[in-house]
Order: sequence, then C-alpha cells, then structure tokens
Amino acid sequence: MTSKYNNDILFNAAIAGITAGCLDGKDFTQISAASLASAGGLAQQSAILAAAIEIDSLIAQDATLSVGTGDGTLLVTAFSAGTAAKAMPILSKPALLAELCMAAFSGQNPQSASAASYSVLAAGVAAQYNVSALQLLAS
Amino acid sequence: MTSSKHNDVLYNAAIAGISAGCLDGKDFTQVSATSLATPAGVAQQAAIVAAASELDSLVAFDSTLSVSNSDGTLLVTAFNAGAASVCMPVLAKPLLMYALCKSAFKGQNPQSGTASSYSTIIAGIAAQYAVSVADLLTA
Repeated sequence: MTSKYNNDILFNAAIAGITAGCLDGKDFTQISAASLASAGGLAQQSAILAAAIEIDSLIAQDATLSVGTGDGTLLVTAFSAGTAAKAMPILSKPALLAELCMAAFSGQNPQSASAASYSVLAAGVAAQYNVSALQLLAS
Repeated sequence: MTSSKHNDVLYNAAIAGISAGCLDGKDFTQVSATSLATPAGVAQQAAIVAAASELDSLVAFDSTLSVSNSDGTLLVTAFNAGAASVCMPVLAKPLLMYALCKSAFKGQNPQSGTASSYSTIIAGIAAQYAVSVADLLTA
C-alpha cells in the first residue's frame, strides 16, 4: 500500500512523542473527553498532527522501516522470515524518535495546524534523529 | 491464554511508562535492589502496578492488540502471517500508551496500592489515548 508519508512507522512514533511532550508536566486529572473535544483540545490535536507531518517530511524514506512506499508492509516480513537486521530497526527507531519528540515538545503548547509552523523545531528533531539512528545496533 | 487484563500489551506499556515517569529526574545512583526492597520501594512498585491496573480497566479490550482474551496471542500472528494493518497497531499503540503514562506520572510519587486511588489521573490518560489513537496510521 502506498502511503503519503515518508515513514508511517515514524509518523506514528512522532504522534506518540509529540503528544506526550506537549502534556509533559500537565495535570492529567483535567483531561477528559469533553476537554479534548473543546476548541482548545481540537486545536492542540490538529497541531500535534501538523507537527508529526512536518517531522515525517524531514526524515527521508527509510528502507529499513518500509518496503518502499512509506507504509508498514515491511513489518510482515521483518518478524516472520526476516532476520535480526530487519527486526532491530523496526523496534528501535520508532522508540528513538518518540523519545526525541517528547523531549523537543516538552512544555510546548502548539496551536498552529500548519505543518510549516514547526519547521525549525522539527528540523532539530530530525537532525538529532538522523545522527542518533546511526548509533543504533542493527543486528 | 486467558488474561485478567483487558489488554496485556497496553498494561505492559503502562508499567514501563508509569515507572519511567515516577523516576524522571530522580537520582538513579540511589536506586538499587536494596532500596527497592525497602517498604518505600515496595510500596512504590505496588503503586505502579495499581495504577497500571486502573488504566487497563479504563481502556476497553482492543481486538487489534489481542485475539480474544487480552493476552499477547495476536503478536504471534501479527508478525508471522499478518498484514501490515495487523502489525502497525501492535507497534504504535503501546508506544503511545507508554509515552502518555510517562508524562502523566512525571514527578509523581504514588504510594497507594489501591487501583482506584488513581482513577482521576488515569481517566485523563485514557481520554487522551482514545483521541490520539485515531491519528495513528494503521496500514
């Protein structure tokens, strides 16, 4: 299946990390379905989505995470007939990106639904990711 | 295998995230098998388990994470003969849960071994999880 994103797996990790980062230190007892459906809640969710899109756009399509179209097809073979070299990146790279996103968006309160609004911050995340990913063991 | 939890995979993620959140910023040089065996250490561990149990109770059984009885059976097929659409949620949802729990429990020092003691903060996590899951790519 073709995806419109560079790496679906990393996009999902970015959603997790950005969300957790934005909520870092917040009072979770004030979060509810109602608060998330409010104008402020919806704006934050759109902003998180936009930021994830921007981060995805700054990380090149990664052949160790997808067959070639950005989607998760590689997952099937990675853990069945695949080798450790295939499985390792799929486990470690999303965790790395999620943690970087958490750190980058800690204490942030993004409100813009425009992906370009996050270009500078996302570039920092992508730069660190690209360097740190090289340090990961791949097999 | 039958489990007493709704979603074993998410429960495990909650254990990891709550633990990491509670210890965030703490001096790990003071953490040892001995310190964890003290009444305070044992109480904290019981509290983490209680909080994870409460969270599990508030997130409904998810058929994308388990075949039926909430255990990890789906993981076997997800990564063998499964499709990308089967694998993606198994990777992405636990990471999201882990990240949210880490943020929610950052700086917290839970001591109660009663699950319901965490009902309010857990409700916040569950609400955010339910919203964020909708943004994840699943194929």
